[in-house]
Amino acid sequence: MSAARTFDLAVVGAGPGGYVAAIRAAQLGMQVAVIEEDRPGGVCLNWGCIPSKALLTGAELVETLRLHGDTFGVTPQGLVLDYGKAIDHSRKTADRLCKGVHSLFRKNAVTLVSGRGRLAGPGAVQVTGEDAGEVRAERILLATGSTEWVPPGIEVDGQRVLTSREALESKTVPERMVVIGAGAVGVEFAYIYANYGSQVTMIEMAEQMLPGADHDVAATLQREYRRKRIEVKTGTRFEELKRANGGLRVRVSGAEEAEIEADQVLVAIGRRPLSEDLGLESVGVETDDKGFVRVDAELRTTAAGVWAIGDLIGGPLLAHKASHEGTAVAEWMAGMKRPPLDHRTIPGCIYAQPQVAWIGRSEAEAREEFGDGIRVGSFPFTASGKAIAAAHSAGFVKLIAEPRYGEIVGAHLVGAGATELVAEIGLAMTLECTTAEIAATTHAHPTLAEAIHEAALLAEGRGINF
Amino acid sequence: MASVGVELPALGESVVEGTVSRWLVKEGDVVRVDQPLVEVTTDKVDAEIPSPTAGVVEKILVPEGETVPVGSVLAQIAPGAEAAAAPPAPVEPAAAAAPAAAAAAPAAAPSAAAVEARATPVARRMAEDSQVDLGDVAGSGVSGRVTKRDVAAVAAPSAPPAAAAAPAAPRAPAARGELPAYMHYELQEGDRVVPMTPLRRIVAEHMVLSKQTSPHVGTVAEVDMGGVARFRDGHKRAFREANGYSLTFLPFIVHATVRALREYPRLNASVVEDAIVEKQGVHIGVAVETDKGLVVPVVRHADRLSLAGLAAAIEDLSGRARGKKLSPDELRGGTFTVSNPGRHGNLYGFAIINQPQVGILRMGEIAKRPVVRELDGEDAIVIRPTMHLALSYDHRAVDGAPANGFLHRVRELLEEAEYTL
Repeated sequence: MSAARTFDLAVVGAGPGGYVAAIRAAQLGMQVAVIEEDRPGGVCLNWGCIPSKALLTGAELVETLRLHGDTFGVTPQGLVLDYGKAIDHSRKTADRLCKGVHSLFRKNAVTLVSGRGRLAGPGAVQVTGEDAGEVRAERILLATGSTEWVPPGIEVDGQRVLTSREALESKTVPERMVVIGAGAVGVEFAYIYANYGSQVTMIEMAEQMLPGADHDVAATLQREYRRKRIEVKTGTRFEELKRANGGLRVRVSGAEEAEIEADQVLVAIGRRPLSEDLGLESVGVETDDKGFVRVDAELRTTAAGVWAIGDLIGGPLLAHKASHEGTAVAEWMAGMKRPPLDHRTIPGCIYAQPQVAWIGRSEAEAREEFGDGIRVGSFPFTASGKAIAAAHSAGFVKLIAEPRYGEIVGAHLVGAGATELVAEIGLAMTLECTTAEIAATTHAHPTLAEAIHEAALLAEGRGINF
Repeated sequence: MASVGVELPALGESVVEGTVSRWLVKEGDVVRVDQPLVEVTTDKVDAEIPSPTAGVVEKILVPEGETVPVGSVLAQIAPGAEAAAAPPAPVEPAAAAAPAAAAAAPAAAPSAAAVEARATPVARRMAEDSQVDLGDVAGSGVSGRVTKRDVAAVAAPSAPPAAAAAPAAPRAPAARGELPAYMHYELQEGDRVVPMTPLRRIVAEHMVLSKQTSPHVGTVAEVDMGGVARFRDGHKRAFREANGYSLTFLPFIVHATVRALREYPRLNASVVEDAIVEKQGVHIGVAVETDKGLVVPVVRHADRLSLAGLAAAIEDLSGRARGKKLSPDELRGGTFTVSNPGRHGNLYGFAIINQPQVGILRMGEIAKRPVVRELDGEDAIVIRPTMHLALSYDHRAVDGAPANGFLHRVRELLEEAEYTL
């Protein structure tokens, strides 16, 4: 590609935000180019959500056989674990889905431009790499996402010190693993490594795992992790990483002043937006002090004709948030009238066992906003027939409704199936449902979803099974 | 076919009732769709209510001179082919026949629409609570579904949805009837009882609601108006001759305000649920005293207007406000307000924020006052025309630093006094 090519929309970044926006815009009649320097699908599909789910399935299988095999009369003789095979499966999964995105682009006549895109003045994106040249478009959508944030003083070498990116290709399981950070990434990888045989220690600066999550959720998860013999040190600050005699020593302070020996360290502290070297200054796109691109309620940046979505603009750094924004921004660009974005109804999910899912406000936030009159219904899976039969009785479903109309304003789930169950609450919240509508819905028996029904009944003070 | 009710539409953001001033048809008349049926007057606008359908005027329910709340049925029209004199207009869905004046509320929607309206469960309960007819609410949700925000906007335009404690029942200002005993006043002989006009009641409700909603904080600047006065004096005559009206101080204040607002967008904002919305458009409400009370018409996109443009817009709006000739749209959508109490504005005073905005500027009296200036390196007392500008701001949305920075900037712009006409 040499001469400038002109499109109605140029999307920089083909992650779950960018590729969805591109397809939606194409459906609405725009000529769309997507500029991507790596593979379409972004971190989510290639180096995050999807491949890690493949590994988690393996870890769960190991755990089920170890903990419950005997319960069901399945006693493996000498369980042989080959983590490399799980990694192979996870890479194949990513490859397959990546091809899927390619074919979706073809189906919708979206042009994939391979290379790195940078804004180069109004309506122009300069591409370097395979398809070098200039792409011109009346509308430009920035969807470059985010990358692992590594604190200064830690050198990621891909051998002993990893982020999730390296971990997804690393076929060996260390004897002793230290995970720094007990957010979503840390919690999931701790589970994977622990089940494939590592002695895992987690370090979290906040007073609870999953900082920001509902307190009961975090407390339950922490208890379950300790049962799995994953050591969780909350209120503990990472100070220094030392290399000694082929091993690692992690010095921590806070709740405990100690040096923890490790064979591998996984850094999962957070992520930072990929807003540098994007040419933002060439058109006047502003960022906040953390580097997130500033946008208005309809995702417009401070530069005319430039929009931004996904991790790049901050908020919860989640693939489904980016995709939802991608759809919305394409529709706004096309002049469609659509409801405003509601970040309150974006679920957060953790896919280890027990699974964790939440949506809306935590109980503490709801109490602050609506007062002590909020209605809370909490149903433990120990009272669920299906959960007990499946030997997955840890956890609970907690529904929170505001006092005036009983509108559901938050839900917090821990337990098997939580990440699937939360979808019902998402629909309920989008439709502004109250606990009465959930209570009036017949839920099949026996299912885990009954727990939601019971929680709604409990919030109305009329629980049956608990 | 069932007869169709002609309802009194909401003719403005805070219009709660209207008076039937003249019927243009009588019972038995054949009417076309959209044919004006009746003239209605409110405190802010006068309007003609068109027929929602072709048919025959079956019954007139509200006689001339009577005042009824918004939503009241004024007349019944029997739709049908009897409308022989009229072209055979099909009976259009009521919403399509809504009068242009009532953009926000399809005025004559038959109440059947309320039953069929797509609304979320919370919106339904809210509508029931606040006696809002769902058929009157434009839905902003998926597929036009009415959401709680939509109902809240109709029920109490300025209250945040969660705190929509004030029911929309027109005649009850939020706190009345719940007063503790010591706040009651027993009438004494010789007291003059002046019933509140509808406008007075609306103002009273808004004032209470605003104070309940926004924690008001005030800050005052003393502004040297010498530069502005000099410019104005220099152009006063020519301006008057060219335009037929005087160049007042108000456009200068608005001019400085909009420029400062662009630098401090936090003041050009609203609190919406748990977010602060900084608005792109800068639309300035200009408080105008009329013989019936305070009205606040809005200069739209005031930041795009020159000084002369602002003067023209303000002259036009305030002239028509006094003549009650404003359309409802001209009273809506302000993002910030400037209040000019006129010649007797005293030193300064703090105005109440016009919800859902987050700030209001009130001008004090411009008078010659002694001020200290450094002249040739020495402090001297000199006489300058000065004015105190008082900013009331909503501390939920605005902290002291931006509020003070904004007001200081307004002052700087007025003191720099750089204008072209």
